[in-house]
Amino acid sequence: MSIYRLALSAFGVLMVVFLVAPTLVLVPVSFSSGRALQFPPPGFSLRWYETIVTSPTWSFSTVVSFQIAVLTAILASILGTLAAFGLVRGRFPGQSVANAVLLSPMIVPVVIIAIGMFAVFASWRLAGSPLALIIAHTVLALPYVVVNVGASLRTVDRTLEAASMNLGAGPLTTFRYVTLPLILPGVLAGALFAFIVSWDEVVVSIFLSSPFLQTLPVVMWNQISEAVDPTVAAVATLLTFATTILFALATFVQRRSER
Amino acid sequence: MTAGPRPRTIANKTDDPPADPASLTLQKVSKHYGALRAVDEVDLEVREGEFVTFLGPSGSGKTTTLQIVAGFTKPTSGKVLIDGKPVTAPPHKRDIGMVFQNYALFPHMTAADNIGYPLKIRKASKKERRGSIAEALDMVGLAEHGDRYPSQLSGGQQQRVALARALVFRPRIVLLDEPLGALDKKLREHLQLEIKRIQHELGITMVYVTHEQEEALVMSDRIVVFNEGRVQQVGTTEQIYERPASLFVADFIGESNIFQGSLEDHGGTRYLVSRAFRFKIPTNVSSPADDGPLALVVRPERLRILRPDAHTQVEENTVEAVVEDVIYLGNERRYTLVAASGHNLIGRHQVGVSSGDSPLVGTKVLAVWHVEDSIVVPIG
Ligand SMILES: Nc1ncnc2c1ncn2[C@@H]1O[C@H](COP(=O)(O)OP(=O)(O)OP(=O)(O)O)[C@@H](O)[C@H]1O
Ligand SMILES: [Mg+2]
Repeated sequence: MSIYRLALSAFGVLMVVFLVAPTLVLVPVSFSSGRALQFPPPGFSLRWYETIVTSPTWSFSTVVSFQIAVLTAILASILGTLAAFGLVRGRFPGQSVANAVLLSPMIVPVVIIAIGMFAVFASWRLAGSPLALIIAHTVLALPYVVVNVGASLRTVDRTLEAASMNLGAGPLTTFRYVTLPLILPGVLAGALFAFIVSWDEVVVSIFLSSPFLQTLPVVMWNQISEAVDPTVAAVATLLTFATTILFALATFVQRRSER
Repeated sequence: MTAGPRPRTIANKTDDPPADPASLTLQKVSKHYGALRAVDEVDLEVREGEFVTFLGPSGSGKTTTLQIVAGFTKPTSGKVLIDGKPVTAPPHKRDIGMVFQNYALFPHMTAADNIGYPLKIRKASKKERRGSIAEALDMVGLAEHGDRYPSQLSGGQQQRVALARALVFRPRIVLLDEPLGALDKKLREHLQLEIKRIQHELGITMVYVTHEQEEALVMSDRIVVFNEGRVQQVGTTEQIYERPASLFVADFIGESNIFQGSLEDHGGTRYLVSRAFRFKIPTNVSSPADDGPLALVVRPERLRILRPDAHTQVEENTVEAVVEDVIYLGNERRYTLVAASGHNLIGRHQVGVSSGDSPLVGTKVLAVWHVEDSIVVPIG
């Protein structure tokens, strides 16, 4: 029994190390004073973080990534909330098909989506534009919003909306003061997930980027294939940090809404 | 009510029509769900400031009728009128207050914000709102609880917040759907009186739904008895009890002794006859149009229980019976009798009023009632 448990615990720890170690190794490397990606680092310095701030390529792409992620989060939460309303509240033919189509970006291989997007945006002469990136990221992020908002919406008691109407509020006012506050945790969680999806996205972004418009992960990808220096590790550390914080926040919001 | 027997007619569905202009009128309102007639040709007039109760068994169409009035359900046919004008406006433009069965308080707003909601929607100023909210909280005895969320209030307190919220914007009509259903008896009785008091003070027209007949009797100016989507009878408490329009109403409201038979005429005297009995019935009962079967109903308190050898009058109906049970209830005795015909009878006599000894269990007795105390109603 105890041996069995010990083995199980050891296996669990091993799994966690295996999953997290590659990411965590980059953290000390990013503070390295050496020029190469080297572990353990020869000394401590913040020079690579300095590079991010001072190098126009890195700082520009950080701003681009952030802007695109924010706009994606906004667009995806609006469209996803509307879609969730249709799917949860509506009764129309082909409802389950619509549901499957909306959730498909979670399942379809990203490369396939990327190739398709590239083909379409290229023919519209939009490839390489911020608009193309935002639209593409929104498509990828939409399922997360639909799932989160849908779950919240299903718990909303419809007599509350009836009560609001009875008290004089029209459908829009009722949405604003009653329904939206009740599903807000779901919308927020969905928005955070949408931000993370865009912030981390690399495959579709590679296809749709241009030399003048590159998100952070795309720049990392390009740098790695050319010259390797610890700047990439510093960027990776920042990305991981931001994603972890946002993910924790999204989970927290979700939990609260379930109570 | 006037004293003495009033002319009885079979199927006197509606009593004297209201004299004042009706505040709320339903004209042949129906709601069908496929083959099911949830509400079936309901006609009703509710006067300004009146307290009307919908009473009926589960599934009889009470809620559906309220929903039609509030505008949440579209009637299949028929019209709803307020102050004589047909209403077709969506729910939020009807200005009808409603208290829902499950209270439907907004969980993300405090009691005060819940009550202030209809005022905010109507763009009342902050100052106005604060005054009205305080007044409304005070009215329902919750002055100290304004900043609590619904989850921090007891069922009875939530109920009162819901009531205050439905009243605060001064609607002329308020609908209440079994608002006290989930509360214990004591609290229910307390809130019944409170609702009545508020209704009286503000002069609001109220339509109240319940399936508790006692609640209906205590609160109502008039009662509307529903069964299977149809209005069985509309009348005051007394009319419904003393002159039920159908066997359903007689059976549903209060306790009844029921005999079923058909009408026969012997030399000007009319009887209700079956194989087991032959009872005289009041002269002013008109014959049913379809010659269908009738039921004779006697209320337990009208049944006298006498010795088997007692003298009876010509104007009395008698049944021989054996006492099966006597229950002493403090203020009254309740007798269960089994008649020779096999009918079960109930008698109820106030202790100290009925003279003589109380008959013992197992003894033979004569159950007697005056012909004029017979209520004759159609069956079905
Ligand atoms: N949306 C609906 N679809 C189909 N049938 C319905 C619908 N709403 C109500 N009904 C049916 O209509 C009938 C009347 O329902 P209603 O809710 O009005 O009854 P009620 O008198 O309020 O009963 P209760 O005392 O149990 O609340 C019931 O048989 C019910 O099943
Ligand atoms: Mg109901």
